[in-house]
This record gives sequence, structure tokens and C-alpha cells, in this order.
Amino acid sequence: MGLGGIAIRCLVAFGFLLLMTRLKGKHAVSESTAFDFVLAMTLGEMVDDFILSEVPATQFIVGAGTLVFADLFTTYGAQISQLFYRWSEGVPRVIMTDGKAREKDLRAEQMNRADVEHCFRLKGMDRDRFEEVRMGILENDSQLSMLLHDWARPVSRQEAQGL
Amino acid sequence: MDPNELLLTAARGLAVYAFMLLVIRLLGKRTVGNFTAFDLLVALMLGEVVDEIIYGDVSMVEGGIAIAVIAAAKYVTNWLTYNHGLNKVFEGVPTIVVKEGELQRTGLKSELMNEKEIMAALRLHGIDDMREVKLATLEVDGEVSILKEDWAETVQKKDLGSRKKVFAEPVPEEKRTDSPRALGHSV
Repeated sequence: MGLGGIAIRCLVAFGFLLLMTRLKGKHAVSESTAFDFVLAMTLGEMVDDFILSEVPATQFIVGAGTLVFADLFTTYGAQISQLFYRWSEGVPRVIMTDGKAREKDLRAEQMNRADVEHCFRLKGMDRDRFEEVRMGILENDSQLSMLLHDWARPVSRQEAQGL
Repeated sequence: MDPNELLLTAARGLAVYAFMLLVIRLLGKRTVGNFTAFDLLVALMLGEVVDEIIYGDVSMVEGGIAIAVIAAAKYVTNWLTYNHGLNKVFEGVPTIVVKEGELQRTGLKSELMNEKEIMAALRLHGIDDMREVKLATLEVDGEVSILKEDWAETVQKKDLGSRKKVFAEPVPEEKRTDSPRALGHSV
């Protein structure tokens, strides 16, 4: 295992992973669910074994390739089937309506009061102003979508011109 | 490498992929917002084990048990945090770094944060005057959340008298982003 060998394998691995990422498309970058993260970690681990010659190239390509194509297959399946999408990606969950937290949904997401205040603070929403929130939705990637009541939303340009 | 071995690698890859998908879905979206340091470590641990399984360095059973134990431990931690408020132990507690326009030096010191980092966080939120900040909090996931003073918030529609609507009619169903259909529920 010469240094030159390591360098070449690094480049091969880099090219391979780049190709795999491009195959998946913009989706690969924007998708940040926990599963995608673990998948990325796994691919990274597999690359290390290949670079340091602990596994043969063919095994790396088959192993990493299988994971990536399984993922592509899942992504494609999620695109053509609503049911499959729900199963593999999850469903956004409404956690607040009209300023009130939905206890049943919070329990299902294992979120307590501190978590609720945390995700709204990240959106610049003070808990004293929760009544401004028409709908709070926990998306598949764990981000909060905060839809405000009409009266609480910023003024649009059109509206300002109407004054 | 002989074809049988490669086929086995592919088969292990598929099996482990399906198993991981199930495990992660069962663990749920508990991580709110970004991942905490602990979540990253768990993901790393899982990645390590999966790698060993695919390359055949451990048997499916051994690897499966390792994954199940890690996942179970994460689940229990989630449960303890949720039910018993053990946030302090497993995730830490949010720290106030700016209050009513003033830097909270004790908070900064306890988090080993430099004043310059707070300035950067404020800039990222488009704030050029610290006095606009009612409360800036260093959250458990490392992000700095900003709550502005009331007078610094953007004008809301309720602050104006009469207003001109852009669209006269209500939102058509297929254009709504918050309908059951849009949220992915079966209709």
C-alpha cells in the first residue's frame, strides 16, 4: 500500500461519491432527514476502508453502490407513490394551532414544553406571542414551519401602497 | 473478488438499508431543528456498525444487535428527556447571551463563547444594533435564536388601519400549503 496507491484510491472514491451524489440530484443536498445523515456517515466509513486498502475496490463499489441505488430507488418510489413517500419520509405534523400546542401530536413527536419553545425561538417567536401563530408544523427534516394569522404577518408592498 | 462474495455484499447492503430506514423512522423526529452533538455521535456510531456489516466483518446478527442496542439507548434517552425533563443531563440547557440589548457576560463565559461570535450571529439575523434584541439564546443545538424587541419587529398588518388585499378571493384549495393534501395525508 504505497502512498501513491492511497492517493489514487482517494481520487477514485471522491469521483465515485461525487457521481453518486449527482445521480441523486439536488435532493441529496437539501434532504436533511436523520436517515440521510446516517447514510452519509456510512458511506464515509466505507470509503475509509477502501482508501486504506482494507477492502478491495470491487467490494467497495458494490457495497457503496448498493446503498446509493437503494436510496435512489427509495427516492424514486417516494416520487411516484404517495403511500411510499409517507412511509419513507414521514409526514409533517401539526404541533400548534391558534397559539395552542397540540398535546397529542407533541406526545407523538416526544416533544415537551421546552422543545416547543425552543423551535419557536429559532423562528424568532416569543412564547408570549404564540396567539399570532395560526399553524405550527414540524416538517420531515425537523424544522418548524410557522404560519401566522393574517393580521400578524408583515405588510406586503401591495398593501403598503394602498395606504 | 469472487462474484458470490460481491453478491453477498450487495445483499447485506440492501438488508441493512431497509433495517436502518425502519430504525430511524421508529426513532422519530425527536431532534428538533438541527442535530445536537449527541445526535451526531449516534449517527456516527450507527454508520460505523453499518459499514462493518456490509463488508462482512461482523455477522448480520451481531451488527443488527449493535444497531438495535444503540437505537434503543437513543430511544430511552429521548424518552427520559421528554418525560422527565432530563434535558439538562442529555442535551444541556439553553443559555441567554443577550438580554434587552446587553451582552450577558456570565452566559458567554459559561459557554466559552467569544463576544465576536455573538456579533456574527446577530449579523446573520440582519441585526446591526444590539439594542433591538430582547433575548438572544444559545440553544442546545448550538444555534443562536433571536427574539427582537416589540418596537424592532416588522410592521404587522394589524398595525395598519384598512388594507388593500392582493387577491380578492380566498386561496384555492390546490394552492394551499397547509391543506391535508399538502401535508401528505391521504385524502
